[in-house]
Amino acid sequence: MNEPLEQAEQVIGRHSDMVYKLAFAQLRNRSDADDVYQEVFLRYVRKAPTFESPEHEKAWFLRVTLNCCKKLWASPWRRHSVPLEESIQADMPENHYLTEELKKLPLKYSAVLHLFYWEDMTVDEISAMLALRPGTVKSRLSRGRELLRKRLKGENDHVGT
Amino acid sequence: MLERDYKELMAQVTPCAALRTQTAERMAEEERKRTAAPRARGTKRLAAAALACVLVAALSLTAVAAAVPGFREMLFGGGRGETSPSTPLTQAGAKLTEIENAAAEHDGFRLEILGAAHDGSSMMVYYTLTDTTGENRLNENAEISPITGQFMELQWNAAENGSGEQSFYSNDILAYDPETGSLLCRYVLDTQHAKDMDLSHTEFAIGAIHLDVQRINWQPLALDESQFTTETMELDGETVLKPGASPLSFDGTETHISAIGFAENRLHVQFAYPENENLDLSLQPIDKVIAPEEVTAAGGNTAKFKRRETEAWRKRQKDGRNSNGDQSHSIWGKQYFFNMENGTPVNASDEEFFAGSYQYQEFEYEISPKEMQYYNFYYFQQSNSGALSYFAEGQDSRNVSSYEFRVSFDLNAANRVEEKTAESLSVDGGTLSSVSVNGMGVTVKGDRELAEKAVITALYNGETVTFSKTITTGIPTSDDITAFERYDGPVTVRYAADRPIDPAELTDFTINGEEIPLS
Repeated sequence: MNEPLEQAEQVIGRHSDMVYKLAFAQLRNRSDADDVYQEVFLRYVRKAPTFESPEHEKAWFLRVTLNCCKKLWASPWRRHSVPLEESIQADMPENHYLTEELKKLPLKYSAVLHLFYWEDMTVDEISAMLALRPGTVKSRLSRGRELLRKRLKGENDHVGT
Repeated sequence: MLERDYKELMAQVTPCAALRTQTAERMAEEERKRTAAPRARGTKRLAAAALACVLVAALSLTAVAAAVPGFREMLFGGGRGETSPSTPLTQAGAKLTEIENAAAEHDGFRLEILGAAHDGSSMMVYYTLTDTTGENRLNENAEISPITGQFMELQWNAAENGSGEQSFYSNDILAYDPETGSLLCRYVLDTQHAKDMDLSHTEFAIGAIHLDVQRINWQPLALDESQFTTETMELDGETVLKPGASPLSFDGTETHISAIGFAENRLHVQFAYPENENLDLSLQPIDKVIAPEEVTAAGGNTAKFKRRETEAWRKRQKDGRNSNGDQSHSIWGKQYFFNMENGTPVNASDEEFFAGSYQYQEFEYEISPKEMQYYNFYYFQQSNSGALSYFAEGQDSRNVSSYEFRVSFDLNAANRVEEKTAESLSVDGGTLSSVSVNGMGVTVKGDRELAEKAVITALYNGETVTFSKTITTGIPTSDDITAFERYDGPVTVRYAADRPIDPAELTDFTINGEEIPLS
């Protein structure tokens, strides 16, 4: 019987997609998302946190994923050696019209949009998660959506000319 | 609609099965280690190891100290070396303080802080890094990434605010002594964005050392279509080229372009990387009407340049195909990463292993044979002989003490700041809003183009002093500025003097040839 492996698979089973999608939405490439994915689950083992509820557990994984993404962005070597333009050459699903525009979206909007759209979190929940005022979350949501819409409209205008 | 489409897009993003399996195995292994090693026992063992390290370090530091070249004397003079400058800093009255007894040794390198100062909005540290192993791992092509507590705080604040592109520090190698394998370096950190940051003391760590970094910036590359291959293979349902006889090789490296050709009407370029080399190649198609100097950034499949329509852009619009906007030039496509196993390509995106002599990376560009006429091709190559990281695995990444190679020391404030205001600083047809000079150098504020290209000179005790740019700050990360645009508004640019200076003794201060009276 391989108990640690079974336990690990259970934890991964519960949070795998959530962690990976958030990492991908933040980092915009699979290689970095893979690294963060592993780091998040390894941190879970090292810290061995205890959770009061399933919501608490979910919030812990989301928070740690965001922290790991920030750590990667803050990495001195990454900042010095990889031009930002290069780092956003994502291998996101290429055929989707949103792909190009999401890559250009400033990072502060992508986390809020992802938690709102994909995780179906409320403004208050996102506010607690990101330690931001609800007003800030609302304005980032609104501005992020507006930016996306504006760019998508611009893109369509170009194609139509 | 946006929400539905976002969900549709994200539904396609899932971790691969291999990643899940590998992660579960690593977690299980970590859990076994964690439960098998009681904390107290581990701590005791670590303490014993640390004590041994301290003893070894103390012995070796004493031995090495005598061999360190005269970099300290170059900076501070004081009659202790033969290479002291005409006016040693400590005698000039400026407050770039000499620091003694701040040294650490790790992984065969010795770090020694020579001098440091802050002026309330920036800090400057002079230090040496010496390879004590005798293997001469350092040279002038090394790239050092220092970490300070203040830097970590700035970075995390920036990350919290969602901005990811400010550059807060510079690290310059000023001199290299091959006899002792030592580098003299200058670290400058701009802290003006952080109010009330404590600059009186810092922990200074070497985060990483990248050995012997070599770069060849964008060079034209002629693609001879007679060498294009038509032989293709299938890789997970996609078409890739068959690695062939090298159509394009590069001097001094086995890394090469192993195949070029068209598949499904798109240009494919395949790079072959040997296992024993650490080199990256990039190829960039750029529209022929764009001169290389107009390109502000390039990498992967995209080049950026100022707003301008191009032949290829117009052609793409005419064809009704998506373009990435008119401020960037995107040749979007795909890339594949694979090994050859028994004549068959095997996806290597998820695993880093070599099955044969080479690993292959293939780029697919949205360029048809007919569109080749619109493009010039440029290549970039970068290599290093090794990257050493000193971040301790599993530690809190917010804390500089998580780095294994570090030292701490106090910084005194540099004084005698001289400042002029905007009205009197018309320079070279533009306006600088302020120029200030202190013992650490010159800080210029103004529009980016003028501020970043300022040529500053001065006389100091009858000798010409020159200043070199270290950091630009103040580039906003507002909603409208993304990686695809260049900001040309007001910025703050710091310049360091080629020697320690006392601003009170500075005369004939000029910017772009125009004399600026200092008061």
